[in-house]
Amino acid sequence: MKALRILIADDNETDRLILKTIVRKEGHDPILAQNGQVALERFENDRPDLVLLDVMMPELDGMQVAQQIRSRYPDDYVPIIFLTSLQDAESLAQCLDSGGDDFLSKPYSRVILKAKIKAFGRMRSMHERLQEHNRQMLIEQQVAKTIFDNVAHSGCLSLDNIRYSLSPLAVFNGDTVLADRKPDGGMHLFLGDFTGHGLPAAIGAMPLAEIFYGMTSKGFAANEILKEINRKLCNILPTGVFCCGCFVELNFFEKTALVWNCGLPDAVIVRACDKSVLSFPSRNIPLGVLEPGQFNPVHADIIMQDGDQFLIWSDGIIEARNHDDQMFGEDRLHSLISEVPVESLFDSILSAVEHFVGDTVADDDVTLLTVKMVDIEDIGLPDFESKKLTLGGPQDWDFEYRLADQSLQSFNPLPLVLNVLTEVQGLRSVSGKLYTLVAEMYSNALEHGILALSSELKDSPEGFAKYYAERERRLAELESGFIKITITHRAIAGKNGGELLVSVEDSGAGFDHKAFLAKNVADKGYSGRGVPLIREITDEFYYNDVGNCATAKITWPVI
Amino acid sequence: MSLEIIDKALLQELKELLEDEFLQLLTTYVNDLNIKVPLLLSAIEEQNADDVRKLSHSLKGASLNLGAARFSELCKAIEQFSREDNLQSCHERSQQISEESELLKQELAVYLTAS
Repeated sequence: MKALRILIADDNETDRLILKTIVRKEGHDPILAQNGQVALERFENDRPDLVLLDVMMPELDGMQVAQQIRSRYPDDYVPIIFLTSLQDAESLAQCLDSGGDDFLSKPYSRVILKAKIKAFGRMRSMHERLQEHNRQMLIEQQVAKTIFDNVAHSGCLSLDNIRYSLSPLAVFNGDTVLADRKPDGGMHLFLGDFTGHGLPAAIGAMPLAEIFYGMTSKGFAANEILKEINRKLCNILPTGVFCCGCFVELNFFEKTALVWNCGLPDAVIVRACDKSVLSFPSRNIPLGVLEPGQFNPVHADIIMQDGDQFLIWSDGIIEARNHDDQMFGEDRLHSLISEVPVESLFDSILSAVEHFVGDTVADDDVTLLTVKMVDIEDIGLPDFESKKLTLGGPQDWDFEYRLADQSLQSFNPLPLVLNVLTEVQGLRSVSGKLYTLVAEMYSNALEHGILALSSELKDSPEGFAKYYAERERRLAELESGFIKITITHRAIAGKNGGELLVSVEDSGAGFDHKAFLAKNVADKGYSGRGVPLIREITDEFYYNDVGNCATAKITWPVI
Repeated sequence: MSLEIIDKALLQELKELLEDEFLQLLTTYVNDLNIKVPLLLSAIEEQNADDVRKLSHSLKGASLNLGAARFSELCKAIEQFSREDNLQSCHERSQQISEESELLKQELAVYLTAS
């Protein structure tokens, strides 16, 4: 056994002499103190491994010294043995309550002291090993967190219209907050709460983040992303581990929001105009539970105005406890929301929880996300740094993709098309606009061409919901029909440039396109973006005679 | 009480343990006696129960370690009386305290000169 530093605090010189000698003879280093005050000073300076403490001493008595040691060094456990000739049970119990571990009674027996030093030496070394383990674990957590941060990257969480609270090590409590822009300027947000703690909770967050960011930037729709996340988590997580989450898709042109709540507490929208509150309770099973074939998430949709705020939180806020073990609770949260102005909701909620919890256990679970509906000008269009490495790319090619009948219901071809288009390096800088354009052409072909829906319905809040309900209904009943996407790309001879031709044809009856194209800037008929967008990005845009095939021509470089 | 004045076996153990410092131990103890016993007797006279308790406790403890069985038992009794605020009983034993401490010093003197 290695030599221990042993502090001997006793006001009697004969006692100190005897103990000092025994300690030395057993191969350890004695440190002496003649009263309680000196004992504390020596403890602080010499940091002994074991303390032999007389109960009755002048200045500070033994029990006060023990209390001081325990409160000043809560994380570094040093065994304390009281030296006493007290024998009544109550006094002995008091000694232990003040922080002592054992007693040594007089006359001091070398044999017994030796045995106790050995026993407590073992305890001390066990404690040191534990501390070393903890240090090691913290380092490993830091490394894991760095890796996670690289995968999760902050996406667009730094945008002005988003605020979030997530403690730095929250991933190890299973909490995660993600946000990213879609190619068409929209936004996906996700707040997730994994079951469990520590590394098992954190590990699930990594593939989830990977899928979220990868698919969002390629233009996949929210429910496709949710299904893929569910599929992945089902595959990799053990039974009983899953992720409660809330997924929001925002469209800043149409001012719409779609919400999928899978097991989190109600998400809410607070209206800027009258502070009315809309709740979005969970209507889906958490992610990672249902088999892929069984997971068909449902969403709620809503029209928002600029200034309206979305609030999403994990149950960490609701279950935050104060000194009296009371929970913060949903009632408190909702009355706070009704009292406070909309702009200061985020800060008010956080400080209210902080105030409520007081200085009890540091709460890693206070995860809160808020996003505001704003004008697209306030946040701009996303800048797509392409993940593709090919230089140049193919210059002369044709691509035709035809989706028919049942496939129209369930498959979204847009990410695939965007992928093909961005193989051409020269088009990557306008990939956002390209995506938006093709998405528009496709959705018009599907909704107006094949499903024969009228876009006038979308102009009012109630109509909006009806429009989408009708869209779902008609899509489910669709028996036959097709949409064909044809793309041609040719290099322009003699310069670094190319010409792209995109056509979208549908099997519908067509419409009066001449009147439509004649409309001007103020027109909001083309899903709110108007004819200007088309004119801005395309060199030409026209329909065939019938009106069921739209063609756009784009040359690059786009000036 | 037929307790010995000194537990010779214990003292012998201490001698083996402390070797060169054994003399220092005895000297220290005897000095302690010379200082604290008069103080104890004064405290009893002055009816200062608190001081009586502290001094008798200290003497009891040190005496136990040295194997001075009889003297430590006496100190233990004094300490108990003082906790009960029974200074009368302490006063009745003042004479005994003086005598026992003298006897003890004589016994220890043997060790001081012998080694």
